[in-house]
Parts: sequence; structure tokens; C-alpha cells
Amino acid sequence: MGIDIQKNPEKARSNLGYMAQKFSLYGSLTVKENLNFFALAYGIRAREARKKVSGIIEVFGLKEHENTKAEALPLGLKQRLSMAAALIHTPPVLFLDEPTSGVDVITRRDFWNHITSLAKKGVTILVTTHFMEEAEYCDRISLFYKGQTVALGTPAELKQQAGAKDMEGAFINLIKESEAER
Amino acid sequence: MRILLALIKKELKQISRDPLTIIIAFILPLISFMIYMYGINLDSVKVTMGIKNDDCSPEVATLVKSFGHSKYVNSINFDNMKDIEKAILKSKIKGAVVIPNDFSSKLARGQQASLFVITDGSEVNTANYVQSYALSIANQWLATSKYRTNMSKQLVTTEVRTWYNPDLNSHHFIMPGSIAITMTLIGILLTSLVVAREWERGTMEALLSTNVKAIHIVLGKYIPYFIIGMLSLTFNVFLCVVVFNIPFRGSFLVLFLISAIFLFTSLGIGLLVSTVLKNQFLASMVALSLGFMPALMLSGLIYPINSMPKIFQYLTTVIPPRYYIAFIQSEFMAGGVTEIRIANAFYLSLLGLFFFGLVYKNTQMRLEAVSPRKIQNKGAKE
Repeated sequence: MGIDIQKNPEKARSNLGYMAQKFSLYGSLTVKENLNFFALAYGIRAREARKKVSGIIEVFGLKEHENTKAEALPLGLKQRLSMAAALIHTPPVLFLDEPTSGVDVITRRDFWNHITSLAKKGVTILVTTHFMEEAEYCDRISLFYKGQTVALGTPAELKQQAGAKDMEGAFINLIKESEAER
Repeated sequence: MRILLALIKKELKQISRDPLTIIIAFILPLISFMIYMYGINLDSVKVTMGIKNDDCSPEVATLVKSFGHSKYVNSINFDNMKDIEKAILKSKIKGAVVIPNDFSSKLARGQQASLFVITDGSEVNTANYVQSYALSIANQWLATSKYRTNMSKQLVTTEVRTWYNPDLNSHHFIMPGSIAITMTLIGILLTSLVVAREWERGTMEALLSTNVKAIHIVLGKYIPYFIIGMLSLTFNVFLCVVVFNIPFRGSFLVLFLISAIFLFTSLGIGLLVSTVLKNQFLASMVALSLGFMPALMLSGLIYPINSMPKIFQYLTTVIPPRYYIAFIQSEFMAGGVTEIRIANAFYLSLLGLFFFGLVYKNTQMRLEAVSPRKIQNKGAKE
């Protein structure tokens, strides 16, 4: 995007969306207030922010909860709200830090639907996860072990490289390999 | 600017939904005023004492009467010592005076006559009052009685004129001091929680991923709490001047102006503690012991600074409430004294700017403190 992150960190950050692993929005503010605040914090003008907020509330199905305080939401909805907040400024790059940890199966599937539809729209999404079946949904996987990339490629490539049927097996084999190399 | 406004709005919303803030800003001053006004009294008080008169001369009867008329004493007459003892045990009376049966005859002969005064040593202060009241009432009586010719003349007397607080009413300086304590509490205790809370709840993480700059974060904390503090100040001054009728001789404009500077300073201390420690519990403990206790003990409100050991006197020069209490007490009692206003405002601004600088410098814009150079070094190794 041509912005030096060291020289102009605020500007660079407005191109990024980030959803923390831990719920990191304001508990005493309502869903709507949270989204509105983050829209403004990303430097969006007030009028446009209002439009974006009602738009994203629609997309993420938070309409009936928009006046609920964030701390009162169930975990699944909290995660959804976090993701909505990370996307409020329609960033071209989105970081999701273990977005599905501690979330029930239905919400998790819901989540991946959102992620894939965003990816189709051209948003670059980086997801960290411990669930190998989830990694399967990704286009490109970087396998991290002890702070280093041990394998990089599409799910199919990694499976082939490890000689495993699924990602779970590929993961175990690749880790063992890198352990042996050390 | 837009971002800052959004931060301030958010903070005010949070404050308005947090009962603790409202309690500290508005209920606490009310309670402390009540305590200072009705609970704590540093003035001389009216004491109830018992009188037993064993001398039946009519002249002495007037002495008993003067005990009854004194504005410092409530007197109750007793006939025997047993009842006096019982009354003291029940705390009905704080002491007793017994006039012995040879009192008037000794005075008539020009001899020294003695009054037997019983005091309750379990309340030392009151015991002292009983003793000195009894003596002074007896002396006053003596000067008007027929025995006055035997009294030696006092050659030197004092004419006392008490300036600034003619009634010697301790409320007149304690109540303004209480405003200072409340302002310290709001400035230091409330804000010690707020930055730490953002780190603890992880909201700082979300905030850092937005376009927010360090100066936004710092001002976004200063300004809302400044507003709350000034509202509380208005409430405090209203209570003090209108409800409790404490005389105010200075200018309200200057009072609010210098209070604003003081608030800026104590907000700085609270935010600094919170910014550095990033832990609400720790920060509030440090804020209390570093900010509130010195404000109470070393500010000159309760113990005069001049009578402290030299080391502590030097220590007080870095305690903002010291300057503020000196100012607010003079503004209330003496009216506008330009030197006091300027000197205290100057020191407060100096400390305030110092703390603001420290808060700004310590506001971290990344999750873990890693300097850019370290990252580059790491990259080079790989």
C-alpha cells in the first residue's frame, strides 16, 4: 500500500483490521456505541460512520442487540461484534487472532462464512488458529513451530509434502520432521 | 480532533455508567463535609460538669450561679459524692467542682482557698477543658465578688484580635481543606484506574489498532476527568458556601482557575501511576499511598508544615496539595492575596506540566515495549 509503517504508523494502521483473541471492546458501551466509537477512532467522519455502523450491524445480524451492552452479550455474539468492529473501516487487510477459540460449532461455521465471503470480495485475511480442520479453509498456510515457519503452502501442498490425508496428520508429520532436523 | 472527541465521548459514557465514579465525585465530598462539619470539632466545646457546694455562705452561692451562666459550661448541682461518681461513670458529666466548706471563710481571711476539681482522665482533652474552665470561672467570679480587694492586681493583660477567622472557628479552614482532599481523590484515585483498566480489559489492544495517536489517548483521559473534577468542584464549593455557610472572601473566578491548575496536576499523578503500572489494583494502592496519604498528612491541612522535621518540610515541596491547600484556605479566609495566588499557581503549573510530560512519554503505543532497532537486529540475524 506504499505506506512506511515506521514513518506513519497511524495511516498504515487504517489499512488494517485487527481482532484480538481476547474480547477487547468496551463492556459498558452498547453494540452500536462500540461500533460507532471504533469507526470514529479510525478517522471516519461522523455522518459516514453512522451509515457504516448501521450497515455492518445489518451484515453481522446484530440488529436486535444493537442497544445491548457489550458485556451482556453471549460469547458468540461478542466475537461477531469484535469482527464487525475490526471491519468497520473496510480495511483491505484483516488480522484475526484465534477468532474461534472458545466459540460453539454453529457460531464458528457462521464465522467462516463471513471470512470466506470477505475473501471473495478481495480482502486479505490472516487467521491464526489451533484448529487444523479450520486451516483447511484457507488458501495458504504457514505452519509455525517455536517461532519459525516450518512449512508454507496451500492445504493440498502441505498434505502432499507431509504425506498425510488431512491437515491434522500433515501438522503432526511436519512438526516431527522439523524436530528431527534440529 | 475528531478522534479525540470520540475518545472523550466514549470516556464520559463509561464514567456515567460507572457508579464508583459518581460516588467518589459527588457522594464522597458530601460525606466528608458531614464528618468535618458535625463529627470533627477542633474548637473548644461546651462541657457538662457537676457542682457540689459545701459552703453555705450567700457569696459562694453566686459562684455556683456563675458556673450556670458560663457559655462554656453546663452545670448540674449535686448533693453528695456518690452521685457525682455515678454521673461521671455514666458520662453524664465530664468532671466536677467541689467547693469546700471553708472556702468563703478562707477567702475572707485573705488566705488561699482551694476548689476541688475532678476530671475524667480517660478523655484527656476534655479533662483539660474542665480544669481550665473551672479556674477561669472562679477567677472571674472573684474579680466581681467582695473578696476582690485581696486579689493581687494583674499588671499586664493581652488584647487579642484574631484576624481572618475572628470566631476561631476551625470549620472555616477545615472545610476548604476538605475540598482540596476531594479534588486530590478525584484527580488521583479515579484516574489511577482508567488507563490500567484499558490494559487489563484488552481494550487498549483494540485501541492501538486504530488511528489513535498517543496524544489522543493522553488527552482523551485528561479532558473527561477534568470535566468531572470541575463539576465536583462546583458542587463542593456550593455545599461549602451555600449549604454550610462557610464565609468566602476571595474571588470565585480565581478559585476555579487555580483549582483547574491543581486538578491538572493531580490528574497527571493519577494517570502517570496508571500508565506505568497497567494494573488497576496496584495502581489504586500506589495512588492512595503516594497521592492521598501525603495530601492528608504532609499538605499542612492537619499538621502545620513549619512544625514538621526538616526532611519532611523539603518533601512537601513536591506535594501538589500543599500549594493548593495554602491557596484555597487563604482564598476562603483572607480573600484575594495576590502573592499567595501567584506563587501557588506557579508551582502547581510547574508540577502539572512535569507530570503531563511524564504521562505522555510513558504512553505506550505497542503491546510490548520493543524498540524498532531490536526488531531490525533480529531481522539481520535471520
